Amino acid sequence: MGLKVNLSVKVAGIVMRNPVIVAAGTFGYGEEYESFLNLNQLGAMVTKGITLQPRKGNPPPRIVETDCGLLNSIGLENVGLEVFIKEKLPFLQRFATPIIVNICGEKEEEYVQISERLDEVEAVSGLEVNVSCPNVEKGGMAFGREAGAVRRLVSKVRKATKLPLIVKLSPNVTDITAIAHAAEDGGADAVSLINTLLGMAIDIERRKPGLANITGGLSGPAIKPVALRMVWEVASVVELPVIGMGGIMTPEDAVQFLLAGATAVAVGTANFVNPRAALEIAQGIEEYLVKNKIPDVNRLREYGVKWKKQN
Amino acid sequence: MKKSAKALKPKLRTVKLSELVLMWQGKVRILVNEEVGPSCFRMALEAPQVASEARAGQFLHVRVAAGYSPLLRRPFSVHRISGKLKVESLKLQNIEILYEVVGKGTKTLAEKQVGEELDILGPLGNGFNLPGGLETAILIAGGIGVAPLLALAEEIVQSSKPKVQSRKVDVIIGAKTKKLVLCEEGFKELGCQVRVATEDGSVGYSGTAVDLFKESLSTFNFGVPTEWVASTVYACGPEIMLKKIAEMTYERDIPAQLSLEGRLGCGVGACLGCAIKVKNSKGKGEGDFSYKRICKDGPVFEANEVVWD
Ligand SMILES: Cc1cc2nc3c(=O)[nH]c(=O)nc-3n(C[C@H](O)[C@H](O)[C@H](O)COP(=O)(O)OP(=O)(O)OC[C@H]3O[C@@H](n4cnc5c(N)ncnc54)[C@H](O)[C@@H]3O)c2cc1C
Ligand SMILES: Cc1cc2nc3c(=O)[nH]c(=O)nc-3n(C[C@H](O)[C@H](O)[C@H](O)COP(=O)(O)O)c2cc1C
Ligand code: FES
Repeated sequence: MGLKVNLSVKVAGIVMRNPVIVAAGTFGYGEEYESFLNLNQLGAMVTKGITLQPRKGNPPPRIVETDCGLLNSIGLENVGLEVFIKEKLPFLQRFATPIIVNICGEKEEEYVQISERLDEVEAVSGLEVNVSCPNVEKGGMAFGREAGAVRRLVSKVRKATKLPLIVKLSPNVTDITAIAHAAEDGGADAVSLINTLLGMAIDIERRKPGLANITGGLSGPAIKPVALRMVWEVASVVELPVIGMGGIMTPEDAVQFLLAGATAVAVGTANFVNPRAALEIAQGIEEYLVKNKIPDVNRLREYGVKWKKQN
Repeated sequence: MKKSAKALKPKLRTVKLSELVLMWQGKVRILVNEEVGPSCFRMALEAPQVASEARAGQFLHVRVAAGYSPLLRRPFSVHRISGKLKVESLKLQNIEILYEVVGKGTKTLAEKQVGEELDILGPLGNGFNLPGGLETAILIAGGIGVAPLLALAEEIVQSSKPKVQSRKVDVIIGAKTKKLVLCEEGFKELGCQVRVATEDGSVGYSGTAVDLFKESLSTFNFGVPTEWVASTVYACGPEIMLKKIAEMTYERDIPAQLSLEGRLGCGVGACLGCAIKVKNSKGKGEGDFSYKRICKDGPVFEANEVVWD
């Protein structure tokens, strides 16, 4: 290892020692993975989606494996904002790793209240606004499906907090760049994508849907080409830094996202297969840079933005 | 040199509790992978790190293939810990699983050769609880559900202090047919009293494990559960069997612990994918329930806390 390479990145003002983040909902509240890896070595930790009130979540079965993928409908089970602050944050705070809280609400007002409350909490480095939550004011359709709704929501949250704001985009839209622009206009500091793709599985022996909730979100290697395309599209048109995710299992996958234009990447489903996945991916990115004599990981994202489609 | 060695000692004692939770991930060598019944296999793994920590009722989360097919790990109960008593030669400790081929993952596992390596995570989850005053343990196995119960029988027998307290282990093994009755000899070698039930009547009692349990209820001594727990039922098997046992033991006020199955994702409590409905301890009536995680809060649950749909 002759060359000393820089792995550190800055996203939405948050400095990370390496570009590998653990994705929302796939790393619990951190404590579940403590015995398997040194949490200090992660780029950042994103928590499970937090809502104002605790949520029980959906009835089981909540997960079902598909070819190279995982369908889930957890239903945002979480301990609620106050319990999170009192019982979960103190553990996370012990580590030198930035803590990003993934937040979710059924009404704009809930997002605002959560953001105001977390604004006072020192341990929090940033917020990731999950716009895939059902919008009860709009008949349960996700906020993230409509550019206008995203712009309004983000600008309200923007006013409620000084914390760095990352808007997590849903892939279940016609044009993801329109939603990314809306987040940018609303005052986001970064965007992260993709959240899970809506999907479904059917058990032909029982002649029933695989999930109790019938449909769910698909994650894992199966969604990687779609995620990569969306990350490239968004990174090409917005000024904001992009956190890329969706099916990243190996360092090679992560490098693809960085080349597509992402400043950092997040690892989700891979944590279930290998609790040390995020660390091994960070290490693999370093080896890739050394091998290719690229001194800084931030150079990788210069490639994707130069690629132009012919038609 | 001497001084620094001394200085190290108190440090070792102040290890924080969370650091004592030992779990292990890595590759281990397959020592045995043999068919012990139709579609049922016993696999022994050279995993002293896990064997020395594992307790009956806990499980290993196994990556059966290196690629993405299947993508997720598969959980298997600790079936046997060989050489647990040989403390001075920790290296001799192996861990065994007993599994039935039901799909892609278990089929892949059955094709593994001795000498190959397997990526395992464990031991995970909570084991069976042995109440201090336990005198008689009644183990009820349905089909492949026998897997964790042999480890439990081993643990109970080893925990009995000779003369001071001798614990009795009664076992009921239920299976569809004679060929699927597993581990009968294993339990007998441990000194357990074993009764067998087959659904087709090809050996032993004709009927299910639950039927046999019901008929033999009068022969078990259940003590006075409210004062001390003399007997406990431990069961593992199909959901319908566990549900019936939960009902029977509840009616008779017999403590019972069940090892439950469900689809797992992470296996460590992070994804919340393995939810199971339980009654709230504060108990505000029928609709008052919450979800627990099979992998982290279980897989062993008190029978009376589970809500059956
Ligand atoms: C804590 C725990 C301990 C276990 N211990 C053992 C053990 O010691 N020995 C053993 O043989 N098995 C054990 N199991 C079950 C074992 O993990 C599964 O049989 C195995 O994961 C199946 O994998 P597969 O790829 O072969 O089957 P898959 O292809 O995943 O599934 C085969 C079929 O079963 C269905 N299925 C799978 N899981 C479930 C479920 N939970 N509920 C309803 N349908 C389902 C699938 O939909 C499919 O139709 C345990 C499970 C848990 C949770
Ligand atoms: C079990 C599970 C739970 C998830 N929970 C959340 C969540 O609470 N909030 C959120 O924004 N995304 C959530 N996600 C989406 C992931 O953060 C990530 O965007 C997605 O899984 C794609 O990445 P992957 O293919 O690497 O898993 C969840 C994903 C899974 C698999
Ligand atoms: S399998 Fe992930 S929480 Fe139980």
